[in-house]
Amino acid sequence: MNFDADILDRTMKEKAGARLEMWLSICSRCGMCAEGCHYYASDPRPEHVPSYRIKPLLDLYRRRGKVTMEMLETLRDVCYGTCTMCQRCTMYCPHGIGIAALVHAARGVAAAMGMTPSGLASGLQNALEFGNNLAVTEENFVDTVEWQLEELQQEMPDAEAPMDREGAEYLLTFHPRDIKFYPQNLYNYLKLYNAAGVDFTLSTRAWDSTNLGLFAGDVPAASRLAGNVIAAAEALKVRAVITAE
Amino acid sequence: MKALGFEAPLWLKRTLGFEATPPIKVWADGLATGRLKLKKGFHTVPVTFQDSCNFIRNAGMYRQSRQLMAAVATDFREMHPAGNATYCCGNGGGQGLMPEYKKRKIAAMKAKAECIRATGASLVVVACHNCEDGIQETCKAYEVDAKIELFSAYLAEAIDLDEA
Repeated sequence: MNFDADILDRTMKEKAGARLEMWLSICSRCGMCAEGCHYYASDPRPEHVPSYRIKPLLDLYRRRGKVTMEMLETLRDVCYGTCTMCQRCTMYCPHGIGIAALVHAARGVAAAMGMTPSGLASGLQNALEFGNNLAVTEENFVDTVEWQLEELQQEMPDAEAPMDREGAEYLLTFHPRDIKFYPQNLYNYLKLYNAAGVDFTLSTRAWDSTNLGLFAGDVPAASRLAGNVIAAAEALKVRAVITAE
Repeated sequence: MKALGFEAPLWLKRTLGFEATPPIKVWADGLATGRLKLKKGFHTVPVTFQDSCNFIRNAGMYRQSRQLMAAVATDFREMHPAGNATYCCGNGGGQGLMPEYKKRKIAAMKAKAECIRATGASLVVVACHNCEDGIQETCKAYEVDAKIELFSAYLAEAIDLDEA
């Protein structure tokens, strides 16, 4: 399999900010981070030490121009396959190196090369196309909210679920499965915010605040997804967005 | 939380016209001001709490989460380590969508499974959907006899509507 060396070169230049270069260069492989990782705690192998996860990216920078497909595949498997980007390891690093941010950058290189794992890639595609990663339509969303509100009004007659109400204090957002598979979750959120007398609104155009672009390391896609919610929140002039996860 | 709260201003190179807030903060504020009425000691089942990376470690909601748990649970049991130092649920960073790496993911959940088992809790409350799946898989793979419930559901059940 071949890859486009120009795209690789461009992506690596884009990623090479001061923060990334500093972190890559100051990691001394001391191994203090090992204790931070649940992969290592559960299965103590050298390749589960978090500092190992920055090696494939460092190798790409060191071997600029002489990168092989095998190196890219290693980068993909290490960075998608052995890290949850939970940032626990950073608490144990004497330099506070953001390993998750470096893994994110490495995933970004793989994503630019078209090597995003397929499950993540298809969820991301849905999110870009429909505004949520489970391809729920606006009509389905509005129906589900109305349905759960009616249910809630059985026990809380004054309950509300205002839609697109400008000037509310909070914009309430969800994980798409709250809407598609577990409407009971939506019921519980509406119950909590109504019971607490919170001044909130929902948005018909941006209600999914999850971001698969973040997981994929795909910054352009992640920016577009975040941009949906940001545009809605700013148009509604809310003080804060309550995030899903 | 991570995307909108921490990363988006960097991606877009501008400040946002609003702040991103974890739901836990809004619920805890409601509890503190007395507007959210919860039935004290409503939940008696031994329970522990999975501290999610974004709401707890990154957004700093440890104290708020425990205030809410203390309000409704009579038998709360901390995992060790807990709070900012707790182990990941195993399902972060999109691991739930990458079946090709599932074997490694499950292997890495062992540490968490032993933490949950050691509490003796029969319920794990989770604040994040990724954690919900992660803890479910952890308990199943390592035969930990505990149910999993979202924090929102756990609290919603305990709302005191007569007082409201």
